[in-house]
Amino acid sequence: MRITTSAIIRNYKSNLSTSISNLNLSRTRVMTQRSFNSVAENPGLAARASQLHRRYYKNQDNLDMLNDVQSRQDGQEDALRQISDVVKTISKDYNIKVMNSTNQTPEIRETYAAAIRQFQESMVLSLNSTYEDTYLFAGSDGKNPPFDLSSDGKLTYRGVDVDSSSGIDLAKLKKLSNDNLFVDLGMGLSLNEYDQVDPSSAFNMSLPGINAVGYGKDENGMSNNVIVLAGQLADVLEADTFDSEAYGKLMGKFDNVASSIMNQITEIGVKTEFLSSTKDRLENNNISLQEQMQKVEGVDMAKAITDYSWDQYAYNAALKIGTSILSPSFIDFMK
Amino acid sequence: MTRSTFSGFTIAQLAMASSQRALDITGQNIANINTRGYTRQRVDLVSLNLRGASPYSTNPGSKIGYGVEITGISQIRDPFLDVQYRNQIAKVGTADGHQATLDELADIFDETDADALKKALSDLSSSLDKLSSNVGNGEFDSIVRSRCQVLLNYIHQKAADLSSVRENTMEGLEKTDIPTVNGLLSDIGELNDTIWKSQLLGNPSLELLDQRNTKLDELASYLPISVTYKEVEIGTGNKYSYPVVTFNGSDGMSFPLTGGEHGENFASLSMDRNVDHNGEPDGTVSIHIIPASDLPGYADTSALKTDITNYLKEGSLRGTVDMLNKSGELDSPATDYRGIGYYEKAFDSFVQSFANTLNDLNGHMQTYTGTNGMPTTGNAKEMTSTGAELAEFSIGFSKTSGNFLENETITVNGITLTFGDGSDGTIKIGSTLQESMVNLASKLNEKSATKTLDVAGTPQSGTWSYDAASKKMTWKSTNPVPSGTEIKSDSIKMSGFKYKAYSGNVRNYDLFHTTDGSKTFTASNIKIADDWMNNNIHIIASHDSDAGSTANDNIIKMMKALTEEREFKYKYTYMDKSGVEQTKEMSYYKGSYSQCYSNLENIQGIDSKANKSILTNHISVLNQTANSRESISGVSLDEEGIDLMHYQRSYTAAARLMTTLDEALDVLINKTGIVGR
Repeated sequence: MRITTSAIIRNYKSNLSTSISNLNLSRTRVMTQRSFNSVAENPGLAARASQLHRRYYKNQDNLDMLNDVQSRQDGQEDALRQISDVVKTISKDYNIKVMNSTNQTPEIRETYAAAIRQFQESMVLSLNSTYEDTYLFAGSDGKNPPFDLSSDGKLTYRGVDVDSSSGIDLAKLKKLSNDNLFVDLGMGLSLNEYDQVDPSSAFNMSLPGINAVGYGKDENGMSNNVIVLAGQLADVLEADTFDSEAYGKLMGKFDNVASSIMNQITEIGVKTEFLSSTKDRLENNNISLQEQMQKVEGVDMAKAITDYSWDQYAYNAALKIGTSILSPSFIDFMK
Repeated sequence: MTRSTFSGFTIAQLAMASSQRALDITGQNIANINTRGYTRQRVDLVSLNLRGASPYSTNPGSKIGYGVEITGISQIRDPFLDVQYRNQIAKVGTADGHQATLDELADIFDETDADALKKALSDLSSSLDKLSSNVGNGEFDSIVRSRCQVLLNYIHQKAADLSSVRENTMEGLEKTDIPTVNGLLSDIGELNDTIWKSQLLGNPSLELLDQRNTKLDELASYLPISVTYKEVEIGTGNKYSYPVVTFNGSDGMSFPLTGGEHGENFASLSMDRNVDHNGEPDGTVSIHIIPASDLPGYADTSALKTDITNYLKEGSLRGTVDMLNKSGELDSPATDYRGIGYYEKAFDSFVQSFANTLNDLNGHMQTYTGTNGMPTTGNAKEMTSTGAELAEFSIGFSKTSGNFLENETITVNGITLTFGDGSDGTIKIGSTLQESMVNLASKLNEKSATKTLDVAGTPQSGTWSYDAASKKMTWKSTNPVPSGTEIKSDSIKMSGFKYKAYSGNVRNYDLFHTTDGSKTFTASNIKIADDWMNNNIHIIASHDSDAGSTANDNIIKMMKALTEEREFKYKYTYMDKSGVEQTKEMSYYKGSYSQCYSNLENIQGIDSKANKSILTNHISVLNQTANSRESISGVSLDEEGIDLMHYQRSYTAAARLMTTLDEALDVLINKTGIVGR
């Protein structure tokens, strides 16, 4: 094939421009430290990267939510411990002291009763404690104080008398005690075919207060609720004649019911443990996602710099050739 | 024939003259080494040998020639390579036309090194996540709203960019490409005419031929053309050839681009913006041609105008038209290229699905007069069966008042019923709400799908009835519940229950509206509902009738909706054969919103990557062809240098011949017959 001067020049120009565009690409890679800078450069990696980003943001959300839930749970635990302490104090101090016949004078009973009523109120206050404007023991009705103790000693939870033993009110209480408030902690949130959250796929952060302090009545007609029982203890103490048998029975029931608070605290403990293991998982996830993102989007600097140097070298060489490409033709050697 | 004594001088003279012409041509070649489209020229020489009867010689072999004759100056050109080059440049043109637009699309959709729409979607999801644990706090609702606003801003920006890409592409076609093609065609016509005239005068017009070839090469990058040469005889033995340029379309369609007596008539192209069945511009274009005819130049040929949009098989016009007219699989029927339309349609359907899903989830209504509310999602009657009781499930309409039901829909078990005048399967609206509800109950009882509910895991048939006193729509099973079954409030279920208000009747809680009031959302007309902007409506946290103040089940549903897999459909309207407007939809993607967007981004990336490599391939083949052509027609300094020496030597030799003859004749003239002097 004949090689002509203008063909040489055209080929040189096109090769030089390929060389400088390669140099530019490897320079951009070094500067941005990214293995690709547009989807067209590597669609496969780009698709993978956007998937990783999505998961990373979601994971971050789950971690934030988990910290929030953890704080709430800490608040719930604190409040329940306060109640538990109060319950212990009542059952320890006022069980034996009252049974001691020297203490059964109306005046002393009066002071005991007043103290118990005080404790009763402080328990209600603890149950109405809030975290960031949300009532902790209100189930899904966090904007309204759940418990209300009226002056006649009637305790209501979300408007329902906790002492109800039958009928619609008891059904309501049962329903309220199963109140759910699901949040997404990255457990594969899913809805069942009836558009309801699948409980195993989300975290239930509701803790209806009545589950801790009890509701309804037992088969003997005694209240299951510690606060109501405390009120009844005070009532017995305030009576003109002290019925120590009734008091003893109430105290027995009170101790009995009090243990459910401890159960609830234990349950929170279990949940906290679950949360901290979830947190570990999410944090590990976070790190591994970052690593994967780095792997997919980042460049191996050693390789990138080597590539860059090589392209630089190739470009320099191409330039050098350029200065001599149009040198001698036959004409230069003619006499 | 007697040979003249001095004929040798003529031979030397002709030889010197031809060597000198050859040197001149070499000089012309060297001078034009950088001229675009210049073809190497050559002196055509023949040996001059006049043959005739010769009385002194009987052997024809003994005849001596009379020197050299210059028959012409010609170009060294291989027509086959021209054909190859022009075919190849048409392919480069197509790929180049695609690439120009794909690069602009990449600027819009490629979010590789920027946080834009994808991040905004993630942010929206995380703000809903925050709201789910802070229901009832107005500021969290506002955060969700401003996240939506950010998302919408990205959507609007991309929609505006997309439409400006279309507009610019169309303008480029109309104002630059088409006029350039027409300019080339008229140049070629003019050149044909000029060359004809100058060749008639005996001028080879080689430089004009070069010009015409350059124009033809350029034209080939816009349109697939073929060039054949037609010979005509002028007078006796004088042959003249002119090119016949033809546009070769697909389906065997071809149109002459030059015509007339010697190719002086030329075709012209024009572009029209198409309109849809409503007479609105639909963003597509059509290309028309008025082909060249053999009629005289003044004849009106506009009646020959033909639409060639679908016959453009290659070239940059085809590339640009593809981008404007085709939407690939989103066309009906599907076409072979994903142009701008694909991105517009896919993006619109993404926006449609997004807006409609969130609006549906936030379904709620409020009549403009009085209070109103959605029916509750329904509860079962709690009981433990002894084997005699029927299962009972009711939807409460206690919050509903008034009878404003026109066009409202209720969906039960996936079947949607519409309130209307009772015709066409609608639910007849009675004179009172109660009557309408009774009609609804009988409608629900018509189909087995709407009267079968899931009772503790088993589908049971039953009957609906409306009780005006309790304002409840109650379903009772036909058969009693098996003994011992415990029915809780959520034991009886129906799937896909939805009550959708009609915006004409009520203030609904739609989060998104269209700016132009149309029913269909597009990327450019979506906006946040004014009511939401003014805090008149908010995100509904729960649809449960007795939900607490921080219940969040609906927000969880929205979060789920953002990430769950769904089918993306593109809706389009068209005129059917009888001229009635029809709406159809086609499904094109399954996945979550982010995946749908990433898919769009990736398709753009893959198309661009594929097209880039096609373009590189075509260009490298084109370079090869150009090299081949150059190797035939190009100027090489080495050769020209050698030619310089060569012709200089032959000139010297001819001069030497002259002196030799001179010396020989000197003997004859001056040294013969001295004796007689």
